[in-house]
Amino acid sequence: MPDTTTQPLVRVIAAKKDYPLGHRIVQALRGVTLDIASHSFVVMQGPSGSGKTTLLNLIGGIDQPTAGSVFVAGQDTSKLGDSELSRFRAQRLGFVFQNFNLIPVLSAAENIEYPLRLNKVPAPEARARALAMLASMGLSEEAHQRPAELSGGQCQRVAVGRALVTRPDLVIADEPTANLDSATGAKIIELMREMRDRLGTTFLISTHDPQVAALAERMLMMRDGLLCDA
Amino acid sequence: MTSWSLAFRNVWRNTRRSSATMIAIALSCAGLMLFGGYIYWAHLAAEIHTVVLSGHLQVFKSGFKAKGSGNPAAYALANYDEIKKLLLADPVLGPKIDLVTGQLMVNGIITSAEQQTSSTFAGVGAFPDEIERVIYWNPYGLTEARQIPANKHLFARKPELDAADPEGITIGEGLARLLEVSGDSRASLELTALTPAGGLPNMLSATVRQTSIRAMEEIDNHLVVMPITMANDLVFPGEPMHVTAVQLLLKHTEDLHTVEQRIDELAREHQLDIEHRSGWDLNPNHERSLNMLDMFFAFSFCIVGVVLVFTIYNTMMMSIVERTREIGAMRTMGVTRHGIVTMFLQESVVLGLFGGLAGVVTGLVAAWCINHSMILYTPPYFNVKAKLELMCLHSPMIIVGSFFSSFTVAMIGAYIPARHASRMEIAEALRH
Ligand SMILES: Nc1ncnc2c1ncn2[C@@H]1O[C@H](COP(=O)(O)OP(=O)(O)O)[C@@H](O)[C@H]1O
Ligand SMILES: [Mg+2]
Repeated sequence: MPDTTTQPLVRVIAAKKDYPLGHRIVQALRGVTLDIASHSFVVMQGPSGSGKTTLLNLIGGIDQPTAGSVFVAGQDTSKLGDSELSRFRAQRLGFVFQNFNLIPVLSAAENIEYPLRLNKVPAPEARARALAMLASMGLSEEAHQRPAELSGGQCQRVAVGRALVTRPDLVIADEPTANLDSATGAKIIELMREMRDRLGTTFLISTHDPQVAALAERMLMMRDGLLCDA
Repeated sequence: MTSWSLAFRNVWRNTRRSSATMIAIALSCAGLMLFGGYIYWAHLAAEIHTVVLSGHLQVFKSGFKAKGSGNPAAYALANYDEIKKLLLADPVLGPKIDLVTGQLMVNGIITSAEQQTSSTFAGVGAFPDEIERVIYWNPYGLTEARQIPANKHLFARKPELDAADPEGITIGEGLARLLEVSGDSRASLELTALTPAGGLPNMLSATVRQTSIRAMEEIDNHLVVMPITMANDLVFPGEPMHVTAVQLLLKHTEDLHTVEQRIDELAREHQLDIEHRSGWDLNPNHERSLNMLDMFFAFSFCIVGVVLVFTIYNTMMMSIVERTREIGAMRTMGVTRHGIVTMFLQESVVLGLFGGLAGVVTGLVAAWCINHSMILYTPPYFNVKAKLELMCLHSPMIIVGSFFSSFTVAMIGAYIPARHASRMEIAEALRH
């Protein structure tokens, strides 16, 4: 197993992804090679349909490349079975989505507790950590409200808290600001930067919002399934 | 927050759909309970009717089974008292026996000189008082036909026989109609029968005490109940007491087999020339009707099961399609496939538990209402009304069985959708 302190956190080598579409084949990724260093704050831009989500899914271990390979924290994710991969995601990765994807029947605090409980953190500790996380994001007041009672910005902050609470190595955020107004979106990205600075978590964010791109430490450009450092 | 409280909340997230599903489970459960309660009643009623007709067990002279019914007198037992004493004194049999009585069957012709009518009759000579204990045997507290107001006028108002009325006989309601005599008339009738001694038929006079209906029409049209002394005077004039059958009532029907075995042993030990037949052996039709009823139940059970499986399948599928992205997001957080299956099965447990409990309550209330509304019907082979009785409470198996059947069926219906949910591609689910 490679040493993760000197190795990049994410290594994508010549990854291709084809989707069958009718009797055509869509080449969503046409050979992407990419290293992401630990603790970096990477933003990926690119037009809709350029393959951003596909690449994030490969890195997040929720999809497999047609060709090439993907290593996360030195682990070839295609070599893991469902339950190992699930455990890997639970311990090492956090996800933030465009449409928040909070569990609607759980309160803000319970949504953040949920991944901790999946990692077998005892209930009282999970509760305490969830509340601390909410407090650090200025959401203590909303701890017991359900997602439907929260604004979009509040939901996305809860989602960021949920992604971070397990102290993952990498947070993957696929267009996290697309459903937010630009001021709120900017605040979410600022929150992520702040969390990176505080916790050292690596962030990989896709967007096509130039305002978000402005906060990037490293910029990637995706176009027609190919990547170029901008 | 536990996985159960998550399941509970997810179930109540779509109140209308979950209520509809629970109602489907509840109605299935209640339906099974009511039908089960009816089947249970039918089994008890058949047991009672069998015993009322024949007792639990009858002991005959050997050969009666093969040839006796054509000429009952020739196969009569002359040692009734000896057999009775032997049975009651036996340490195995004694405690299991409720009553030992004897009957002498007499077939012949009954005539009303006054009305110029006559008919064949099937007579039963019985011991006054003891016959009442046989024909009103009802250890399970079922509503008896004679307790139903609509039937009341058909049944005897006084005991069928009375030791103080040695001439008095009770005849079937149907036979009275044929002979054109009424129950209150104390009409005089002549009974004629052949004697085993041969020669001319013997004849006796009797007085009608009353008419009394027998549930089975065939019997009702020919029945004459007379004191056993009269039957002996008719068939065995001047001879000691004879019986065609020694009839046994047991305290518990379950003892029947043990009792039969013990009687065989006793017969061997004491070299008695006897054979025995159970009430079930003598009345096989009850068993056959019950078999048919059990088949209906099995069919209904299957139909209810299949419909319920599809109902649950459908609701679960709808719920899963709606929650596709949520399932995808849960998987990204590290929920395994197994975890997704478990989550939906837990929701199904909640549905099944509440639906099943609601079903048990519904079933009990419905059974109570039905049992108190005096719904009457005439069962096959019968000529009196029976009350529709659903004995859901009499056997815990009915409630427990209905509950667990509907619960299990709900789980089966949920399993396939749950598996489907667990096998969705995460990336696909998130794009949904
Ligand atoms: N499941 C799929 N089946 C077929 N084509 C797909 C599928 N997922 C993505 N694609 C196609 O792959 C390409 C890249 O998609 P995506 O990665 O979602 O781009 P982006 O996130 O940059 O908008 C698009 O042309 C899209 O239509
Ligand atoms: Mg996308």
